[in-house]
Amino acid sequence: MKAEATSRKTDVFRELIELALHCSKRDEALQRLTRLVSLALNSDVCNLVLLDTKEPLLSHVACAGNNHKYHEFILRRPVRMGSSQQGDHLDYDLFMQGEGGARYNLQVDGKGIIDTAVARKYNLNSAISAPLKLGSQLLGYLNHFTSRTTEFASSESEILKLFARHAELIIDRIDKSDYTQTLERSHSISLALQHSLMSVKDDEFLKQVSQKACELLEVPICIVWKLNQHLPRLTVAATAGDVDADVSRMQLDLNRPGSLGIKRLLRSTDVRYLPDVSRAAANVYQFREKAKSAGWVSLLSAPMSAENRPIGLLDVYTRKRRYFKQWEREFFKTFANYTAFSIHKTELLRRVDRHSASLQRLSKLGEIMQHVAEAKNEEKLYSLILDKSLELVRSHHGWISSCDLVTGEHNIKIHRGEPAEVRALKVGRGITGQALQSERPIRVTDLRSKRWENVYEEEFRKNTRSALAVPLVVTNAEVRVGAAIQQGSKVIGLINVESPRKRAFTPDDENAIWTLGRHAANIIERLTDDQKLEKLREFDREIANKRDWDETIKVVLKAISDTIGYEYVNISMASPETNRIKSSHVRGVEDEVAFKRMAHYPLDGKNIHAEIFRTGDIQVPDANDDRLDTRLDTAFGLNDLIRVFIPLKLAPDDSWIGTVEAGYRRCHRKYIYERDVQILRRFVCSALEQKKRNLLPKISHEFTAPIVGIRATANFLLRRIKTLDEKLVERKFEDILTDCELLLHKVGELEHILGGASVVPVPSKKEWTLVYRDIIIKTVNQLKPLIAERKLDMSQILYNNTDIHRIRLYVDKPKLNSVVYNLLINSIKYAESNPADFKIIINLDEDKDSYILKFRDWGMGIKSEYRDLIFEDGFRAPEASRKNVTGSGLGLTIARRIMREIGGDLLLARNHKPTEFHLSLPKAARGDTQ
Amino acid sequence: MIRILFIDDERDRMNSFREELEYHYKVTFIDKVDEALVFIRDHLDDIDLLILDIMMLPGKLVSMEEAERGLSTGLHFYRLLRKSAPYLPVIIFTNKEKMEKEFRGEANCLFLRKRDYLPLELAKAVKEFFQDFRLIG
Repeated sequence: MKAEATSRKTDVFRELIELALHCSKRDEALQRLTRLVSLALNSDVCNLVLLDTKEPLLSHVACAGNNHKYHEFILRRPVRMGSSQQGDHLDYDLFMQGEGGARYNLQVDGKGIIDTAVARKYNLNSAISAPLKLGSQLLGYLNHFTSRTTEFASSESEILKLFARHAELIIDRIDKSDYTQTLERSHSISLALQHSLMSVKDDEFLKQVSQKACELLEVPICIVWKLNQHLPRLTVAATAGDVDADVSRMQLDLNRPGSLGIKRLLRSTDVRYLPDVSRAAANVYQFREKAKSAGWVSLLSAPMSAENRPIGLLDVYTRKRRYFKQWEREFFKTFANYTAFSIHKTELLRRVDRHSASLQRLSKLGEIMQHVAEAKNEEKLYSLILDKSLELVRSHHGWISSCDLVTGEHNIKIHRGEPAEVRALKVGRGITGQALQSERPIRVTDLRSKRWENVYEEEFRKNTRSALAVPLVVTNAEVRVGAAIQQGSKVIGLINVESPRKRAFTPDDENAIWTLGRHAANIIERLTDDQKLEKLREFDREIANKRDWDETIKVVLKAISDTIGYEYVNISMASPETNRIKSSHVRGVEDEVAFKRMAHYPLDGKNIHAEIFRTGDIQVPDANDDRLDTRLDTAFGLNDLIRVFIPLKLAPDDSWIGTVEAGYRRCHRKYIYERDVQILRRFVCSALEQKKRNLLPKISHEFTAPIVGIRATANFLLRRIKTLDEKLVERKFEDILTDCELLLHKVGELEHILGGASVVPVPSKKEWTLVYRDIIIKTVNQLKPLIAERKLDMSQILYNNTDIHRIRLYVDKPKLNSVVYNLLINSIKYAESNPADFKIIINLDEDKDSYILKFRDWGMGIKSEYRDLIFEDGFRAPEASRKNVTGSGLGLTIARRIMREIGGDLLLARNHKPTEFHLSLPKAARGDTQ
Repeated sequence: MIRILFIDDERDRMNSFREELEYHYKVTFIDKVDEALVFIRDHLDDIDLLILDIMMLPGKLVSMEEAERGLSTGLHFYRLLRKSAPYLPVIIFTNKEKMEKEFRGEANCLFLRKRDYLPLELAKAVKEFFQDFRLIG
């Protein structure tokens, strides 16, 4: 029976870890998690609720337990939060506090978490809740309800918290995986639309757009609105999903009062989200009645504009309340932009049609654009564009160049016809250079005319008379300027066609190539993005194999430079304990050490790192921005760079917050492109988080060995105790105690991994403490079994007896205890193999402000090159690995963090023979009042 | 009596397993890979069954890198052992569950997760495995 119970519990925790690390469907994972909670705690009801803080509502996503009737009741509907004082059962303020805890007697008083009638009906008396958070963001709660009236044991609360941390991991991990899947879906959708763009009629194309929008966000309804500028009025151009015929007749007169919101939306670049349209105000949403009858609930609406002119709106609706994540909104916005561009392109084509009168040519252009959209490889794509361009304008001579925004040159990538010379050309010079600079086509009817005298520098062919230079420009590119996203352009290269005849190219030729050029630019951009993502995936794999934190960061920096093309990258980490943000890794400056020495700032100061750390904004500051560190920028030549500053928030552990700054030479670049910014942010965050997540199984694994040891020993004692001699029994209990001590230590590490330094600090448990008697001597005694096990001599741990009553401080005793434990256990674990060499000396010193406890040992020591690294998360010196196979490399990180939290510090004063750690304790703690 | 060689670097944690086995079998316990290799070389004929851990310091067996800092030492040990003792019954007794696939299909080899076994259960598993082995062998 016992073995069965143990095995069941083992199964629960094994499934929990499997869920946290592998399950790919969020709702299913959370549902299974509640089931595991109910198994582990024997819940009558376990539910996991997520908050919609704006509305404010609870949306129940998962529920399990013995009380099945309750599940049916609660899963049916969203539950509104309100004010306890006004008689609401669920108290909004209480929920927003983000604190959990136990509550009793719920059938008499629901305590703001349950309706008493519901508690009575389903016989629920007591509950404990654990909040779910990602960084500082409150997501919801995990709740365990029972019919019991007795108090909860502290272990129940701890177990619930453990499950809550896993729920956070699940939510966070699956969100990231959903992002990647949506990204891939978005690419294939763009490709499919490119295919249809030229092969189907306008109406059919818009119909496909609406269907693809549904597919992209997995929503049931989409409406495409087209703007008639002259009336002005929005009319429905296409719909997808389950909509009736009335919808296609819907119109929105923009002259009507109350349409101000829509007009603003049309002019903006933002996406509008309404959680429930049937509850929206009339001046915000005009179709409330229709929405109610059709069952539309949440709305996401994106403006469509082309060449800075609004052309319509793209709306998607859900039938159930749904929260669209920020990145889902970003995808939707990009999709709307793309659609706008496509619609605009068909208009351009029609213009070509009007002027050329050659239907055959129009259809040919359509066909070419389709081929271009299908290209999978950049080289073939360039050939295709050039050959088809020449065909369209009946020429045999031409080339395509690509821009190098660093040198300001554009280099011929591919050419047709026999060139006189192929050489680098300058942006701004020659006809092609001017076309690139102005981002407009230039058509030359006769190069020998006065207008072009001394301008034509290309001299591609000696006998050229006519030329048509058309830039390859992405016109709807999103760029970051300051903290805002704006529409910008991105010049990729140029198509140049030439002819020995005068007036060889017509305005229709110009229009056709200009249309093709912009289309091709988008495709080239997409291929480049694909290549970047593929390369980053390779780097991701490399990172996953790195065991060392420092090596991981080096790969991250290399990936950013090599793949996204940033010449300079600086990752800074914030330290709330010291109130500073400091460069931890940099690439692209000559003297990295000198750079790091200068690049640190107070977190509450005005420097841009500190500011974006506080605000969470992504910023591309102007060169003269006074938040930049001009001294540093001048010293390291950063003034010439255009730079983006991105906050790094790594959920769920807020102690790993910092910034990443990346830039390239300003030279001929106007912008930092939003797509690159997002790729950079995602990559850095996911690389660092992945590394951190890898520590979790490592820690979990370390729990198994001592547990197996304790269980085996306890079981052996249970069966054999009567036959064993007293000495052996004593030794067995000592074995158990040693493993228990180790386990407690591991729990500290696990808490660090799962919870870290939470935004809401854990309340300090300060008490008057005689540091020697209550902490040092106590810890030495705790470690006795381990010391004996290693055959070391207890009497070689030396301290001055007169110090025992010397320091009495008002401190958090358990925390200080764990630091001392960590230092001593390291001295024991890493003692030299000859027990005669073992010695630990603990001395006390003091200065004006602090007591300094000096721990010296004569163990294997720390190599000087690892001096700084030993305090970094996950770092393990190779020598340590050689001594012990396992170990998380977190002990000293946690110890230093704790010391800084309590106002002191932990330093490595000497690295070898003796290894000497200084633990400074502020004397101010003497004066603290209770 | 079955003669067992038990190789595991966590001597103290394995004490209860060893002591329980000693009620039923003759057990030699060695906590260092290098010593175990010497012992096998000199006493292979005196061993009926081997119990082997995976995560151990590699000693001189292979480099730290090859042994993935000790995480796969037992696997290297097993492969080396099989060159001189292809038929010796071996129980892999480990917390390193992911290694199971490395031993799938291995003849005369049984993979046991430490967490699934109490001392007496290990003793029983040894008996059953050895009986099976003798039946087949």
